[in-house]
Amino acid sequence: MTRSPNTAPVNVEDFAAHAAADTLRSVRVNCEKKVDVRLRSMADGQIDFAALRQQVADARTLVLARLDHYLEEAEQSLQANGVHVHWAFDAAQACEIVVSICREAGASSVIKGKSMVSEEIELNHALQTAGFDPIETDLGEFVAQLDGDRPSHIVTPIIHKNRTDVARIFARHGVCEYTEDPAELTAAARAWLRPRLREARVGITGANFVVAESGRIVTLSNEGNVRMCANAPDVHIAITGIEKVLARDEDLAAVLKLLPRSASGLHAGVYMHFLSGPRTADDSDGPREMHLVFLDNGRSRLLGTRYHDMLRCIRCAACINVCPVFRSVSGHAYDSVYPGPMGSVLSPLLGSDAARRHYGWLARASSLCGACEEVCPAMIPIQRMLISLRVEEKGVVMRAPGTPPLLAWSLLASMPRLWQFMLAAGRRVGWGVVRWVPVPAIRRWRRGRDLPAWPRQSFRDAFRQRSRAEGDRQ
Amino acid sequence: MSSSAEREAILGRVRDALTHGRRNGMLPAEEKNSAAPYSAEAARVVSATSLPAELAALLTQRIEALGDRVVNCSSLDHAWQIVRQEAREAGHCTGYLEPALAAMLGVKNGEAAWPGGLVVTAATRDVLFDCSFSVTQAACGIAETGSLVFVHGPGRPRLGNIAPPVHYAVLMASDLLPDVVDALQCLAATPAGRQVVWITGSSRTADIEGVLVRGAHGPRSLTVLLVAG
Repeated sequence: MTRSPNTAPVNVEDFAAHAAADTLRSVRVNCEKKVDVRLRSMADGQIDFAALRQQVADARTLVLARLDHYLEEAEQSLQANGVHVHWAFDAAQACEIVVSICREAGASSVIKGKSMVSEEIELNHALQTAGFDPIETDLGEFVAQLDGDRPSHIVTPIIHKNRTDVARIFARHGVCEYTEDPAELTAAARAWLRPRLREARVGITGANFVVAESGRIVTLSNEGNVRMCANAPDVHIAITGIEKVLARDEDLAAVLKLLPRSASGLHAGVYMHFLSGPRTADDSDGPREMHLVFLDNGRSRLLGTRYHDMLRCIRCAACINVCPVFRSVSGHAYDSVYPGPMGSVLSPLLGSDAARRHYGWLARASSLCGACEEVCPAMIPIQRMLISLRVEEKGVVMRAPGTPPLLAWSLLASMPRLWQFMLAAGRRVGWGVVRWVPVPAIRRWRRGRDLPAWPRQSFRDAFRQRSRAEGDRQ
Repeated sequence: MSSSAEREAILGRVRDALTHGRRNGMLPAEEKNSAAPYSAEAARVVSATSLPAELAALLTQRIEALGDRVVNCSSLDHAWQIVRQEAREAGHCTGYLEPALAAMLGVKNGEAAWPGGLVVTAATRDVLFDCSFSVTQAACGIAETGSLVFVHGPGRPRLGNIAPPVHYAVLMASDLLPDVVDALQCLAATPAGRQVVWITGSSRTADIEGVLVRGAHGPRSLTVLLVAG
């Protein structure tokens, strides 16, 4: 799916221990800002979050329950609108389809609007290998591309960078003179990218949704780059997952009210775009050819399983912004296109079987605090899925180094008398014994945790004493 | 290019997975004519007004909160007068005016509409990338969000409201809708083949440290010319 999975499981703690302090600070501060703006937009009295998220969940559940039917309907509607529909089983096939369309178009440079699916299939690498020059147009993606870096967040690609980083990158690559002013940096990127937007023969975007009944492809953006990529070149290719289908245009109501608020704290995305086909005889501009690639890459494997509801995800990143683990370790710690809570469920399940081995441990990179579930606009039970993954991974994934042996604990917990004895001993002796146990795993486990103070008495004794005292008083 | 084999493989897997899910109780039994368990009407903002004056006030409030402008105009001619005046003050060289608007105003392609400036009404991609501003008409507005709805087609190029750096959007006050739900009903009624875009404010990004910057790729300023009547 992404960075070539090796057999060693991802370890977010290790990553964070070695990450630059600046990076972690940027992530923490930027996430706090995002959580703040989201809350303000949800609590402005204009919408009923609980009611709308139920609608989003219902609309998505409806489609997923009969996904084959809605995919076929979408295909028919898209084709009626003049869109070529392609089906890609996996990442390699999707890349092949896109590359062959670019070849037929005689493209040399290809402009890209932000698409996480294109990151998932490593499309830029495939395009470069085939001799094309892919140019990212989303500001964050553009910065990451120049720096040879990868996005660390599905909505804000450079949440882990600060203005000094961007200033250095732009100066190094000749985009502009050194300046740390975000407005000047943005203007420089606009000036740099504008001629390339104008000249490219092929534009590639993602699609937030595809409406089955009307065959409309819906994209949301705030910069305007997606509109440019879809309308300026001769050929437009949209790539999306097979799960991104809605039944009718009206089902977009709840989604369009919640997605911009969840993602950026805005009442509406600046450009909410309802594409319905290439240039017609009446149009004076627009692409002469339009393609949509439906990607599976493991999504069909989630259907009908306990992870089925994860396919409801509308990619708002609200769960990512609010996750205390994400904020402490940053997106790259997950080593995946999809980080944070939603990524911890999707990363091991999408792509190939190797992904399972590499990402399975991510289910444990969570304190199960439930903040993600509270903010999810599609009411996805993320916690339940993380727990299922943990149970399933027990035999499959190697324990990451630093996991303390729980066999001793599980023995104690299943023998009541031994348990009582250990508690009584602890009340006498305190934690002293444990501190001296030379098991590195336990030492590591204790590093970030305070052990509670031992009480003077056991609860049962204290309760008995109190009941007796109250009985005497009466 | 994908062949029908890939299509069948993917749809087959989807069907099998769903059948399996129903059999083992993960999914409810299939209902052939499943109606949606909700009504899109329920997404409507409860306190929404439908009085025209209040709709205009709400739209204005939303747009100004985004840092953009709403200028109240008594007529289309008045709106065009404002545009020409601002173009002269800003020293713009070329401006694009949608043919339908040009016809209503009696303006010709290539006309010197203000000192030092020309109006273009015939659009190609290059023209739209090169001109300093554009004037296009919104089909309707959504008061709830402060959005303008543009329907593209003959005489309404897609790049007209995205390529030029300054955008003037003409909106008739009588074309204001209260809620996103209403706008989606209009969308469903719009003929296929007509691209639609809802624009809410001018282009912006907050990718660098969450600092809001206007004018990323689209127009850096949006002025709504709200025409009474």
